[in-house]
Amino acid sequence: MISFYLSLLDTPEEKSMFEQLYRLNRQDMYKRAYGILKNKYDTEDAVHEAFMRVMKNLTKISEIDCPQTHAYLLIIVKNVALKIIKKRTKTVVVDVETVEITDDFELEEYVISNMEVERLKNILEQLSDEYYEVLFLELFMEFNISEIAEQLGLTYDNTKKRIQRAKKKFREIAEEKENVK
Amino acid sequence: MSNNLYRAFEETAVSRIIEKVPQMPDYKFSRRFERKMKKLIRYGYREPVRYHKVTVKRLFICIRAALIATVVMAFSVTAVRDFFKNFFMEVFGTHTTVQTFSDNINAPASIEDVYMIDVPNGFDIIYKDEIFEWSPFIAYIYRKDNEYIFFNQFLKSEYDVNVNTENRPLDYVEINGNDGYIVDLGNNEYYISWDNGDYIFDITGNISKDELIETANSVQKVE
Repeated sequence: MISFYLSLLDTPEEKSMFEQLYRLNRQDMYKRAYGILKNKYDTEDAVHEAFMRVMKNLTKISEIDCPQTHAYLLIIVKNVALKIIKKRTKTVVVDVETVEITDDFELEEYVISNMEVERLKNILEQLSDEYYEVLFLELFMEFNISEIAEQLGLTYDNTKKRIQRAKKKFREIAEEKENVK
Repeated sequence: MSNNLYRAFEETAVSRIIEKVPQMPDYKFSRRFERKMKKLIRYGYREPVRYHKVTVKRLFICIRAALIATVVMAFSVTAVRDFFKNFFMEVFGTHTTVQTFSDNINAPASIEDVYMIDVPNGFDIIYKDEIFEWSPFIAYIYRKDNEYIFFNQFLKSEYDVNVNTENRPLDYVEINGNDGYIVDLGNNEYYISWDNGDYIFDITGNISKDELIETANSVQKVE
């Protein structure tokens, strides 16, 4: 292990992996962020910042060249871009996640009970972007709440509440569909 | 997570995330951005270094670094003076920030000559930087089982590294007649850096100190 540089990439393999991630994803990350920021300088900063956040969580990436990793990077850069927009427009961020959700609903237990893939896909398609994204990061990428909070630039509490809300919404959609049946 | 939910995420990632990327031509990233990313890839994120504008403070830091060096290092007075003419060191609790201190006006502004080293038997090159006009440095990585050697050639203006010097001896070393320093990183890892007048080089490896010095001495310009 190289201890010389105060680096987050310890091994040649990690450096190589990170470089491949960069080469494969930077164009789409740029385009995603540019779609929000409309300014090439801010967009470059957003892409750089996103890669810095991803660098800290490299161990969670099992495959470099796959749509899911690509999606993960796009989620991060989108949220970095939104953060820049908020700063630029001096938007006062109202804490919209203040409602306490006491129901500690465990999505995994709920869906383990034989839900078909098509049905699950249908529910995921109906979630809002922000709910889909936090569930993707928590359940698919297996990040914990602190890691998600850091990468999305949110507080721990807001991240936790957003995840709870996303799961609650997931269950509501699932139950609506159940009742329709 | 249930396999079905995993598959559902796998199959919706494209429509939910990837297809939202706007259709537009590929972007040519700026030189500034490419340099920043190249540094990030090679060296990771570092705490920002605070530059000192106050001359007295800077002088104090140099004196402190020189005092440490004179106690720790066994080399001539001329060498001490020359050594610190080339490198500016700022000693922190856990590390030392090293930058070039000499006048870089005459040093190349881009990498015009490429240097390489002869590595010990059995080492294979596993990474080599592509060289661009804007490259701030070139990196090579060699590997043999669990042993590795990193070799970098920096533009003098771009040399700015953090050395882990917490409880680590830092010594003067001469490489091909040029002044440099060597740091014992522990666990049989060593770091050497030196200035040949045009470029700064550094080499890190978990081979013996003598072998690493010999490897550093093998550096030569690629014709």
